[in-house]
Amino acid sequence: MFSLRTCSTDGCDNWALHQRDVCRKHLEDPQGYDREAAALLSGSEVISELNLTSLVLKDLDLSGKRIDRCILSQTDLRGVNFSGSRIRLVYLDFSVLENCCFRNVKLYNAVFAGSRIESCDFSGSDILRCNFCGIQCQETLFDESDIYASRFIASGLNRVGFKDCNLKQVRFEHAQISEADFRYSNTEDAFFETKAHKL
Amino acid sequence: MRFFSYFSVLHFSNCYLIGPDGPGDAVLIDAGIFDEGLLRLIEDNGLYVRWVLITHVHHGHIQGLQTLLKIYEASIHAFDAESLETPVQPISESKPPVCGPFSFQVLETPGHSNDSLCFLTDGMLFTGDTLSAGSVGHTPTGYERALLLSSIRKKILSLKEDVLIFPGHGPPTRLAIERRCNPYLVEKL
Repeated sequence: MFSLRTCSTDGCDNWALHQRDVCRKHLEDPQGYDREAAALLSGSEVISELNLTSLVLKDLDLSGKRIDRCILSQTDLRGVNFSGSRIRLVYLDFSVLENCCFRNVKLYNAVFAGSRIESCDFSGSDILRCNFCGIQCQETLFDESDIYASRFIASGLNRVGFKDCNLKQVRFEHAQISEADFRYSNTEDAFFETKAHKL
Repeated sequence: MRFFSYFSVLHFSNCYLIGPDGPGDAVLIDAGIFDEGLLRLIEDNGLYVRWVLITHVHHGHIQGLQTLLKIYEASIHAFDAESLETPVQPISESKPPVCGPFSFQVLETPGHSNDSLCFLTDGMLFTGDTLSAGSVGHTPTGYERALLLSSIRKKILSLKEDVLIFPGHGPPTRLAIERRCNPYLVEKL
């Protein structure tokens, strides 16, 4: 279960951060909190049930971690290495991800919707039932990944690689796609037109 | 409180299990396909399904009920008490389900089907086929599409943006995402 508590500041209904009674907006020392959170994340093998909304992380190695049921919405992640991690039911929506490595990760029910994803590498991964709706993504690779039942609805995909991917049940309706590479992928099993899918 | 999601490959449908921190009675939201994986999820976590909440009576969301009732003595809660062969306790916005320590607000959201309900608890909204990531439920006619969009606007988009959404199909989402990225809703706002 997500640990959701409301910020203790009068009139604020944002969720309070992990180990704090207040939300990011009402933190006295946000940079100090980022350092504390980075130490917590890099020092734990299993990271679960944390609300770390609006965290800023740079050049951090989180490879091989198990990250489960966390809220990392509106985070700013640059040069973060998640390779080999297992990431399950994690919200990374409305975030900025630049030069992040997700190679050989196992992503299940992760939410990247509304994020700006640039120069990231998701190659060789299992990306099952993930939410990429509304992302603005460029110069990013999903090559040789199983993207089963994930959704890229209303996304912007520019110079994105989907080479040799499993695209079964993947939904791209309303997406703006330019210079994407779908070679050797089963595009016939994905949905690009709005009429093709119904619940 | 513990929360689990379970995905059935047969109808591509989700069901959700909410239980106490330790062993004890649990709530199942929709009973898609009651297969060995779902049984193992329940049993391995020491849970007993005591209450089942049905988002709507479509095959992919209720097919597992008969099997479930052979294993658990559960009460079934749905909008339309007449629509299932098993005894059902009718629920609505004015008559929410009583599920021991777990409380749910019921939202009536007709459109995809006349009996569609959403369940809100603890910052999490279970939307069935009413709303999913980047999409809305299928409707056979324009009238039902208008009804569905009206239900979503009135009942769901008025909730807090932080609400986490767990649909009957597809990956999880959040209200803020759907407000800004769902093409069916952005056009209609």
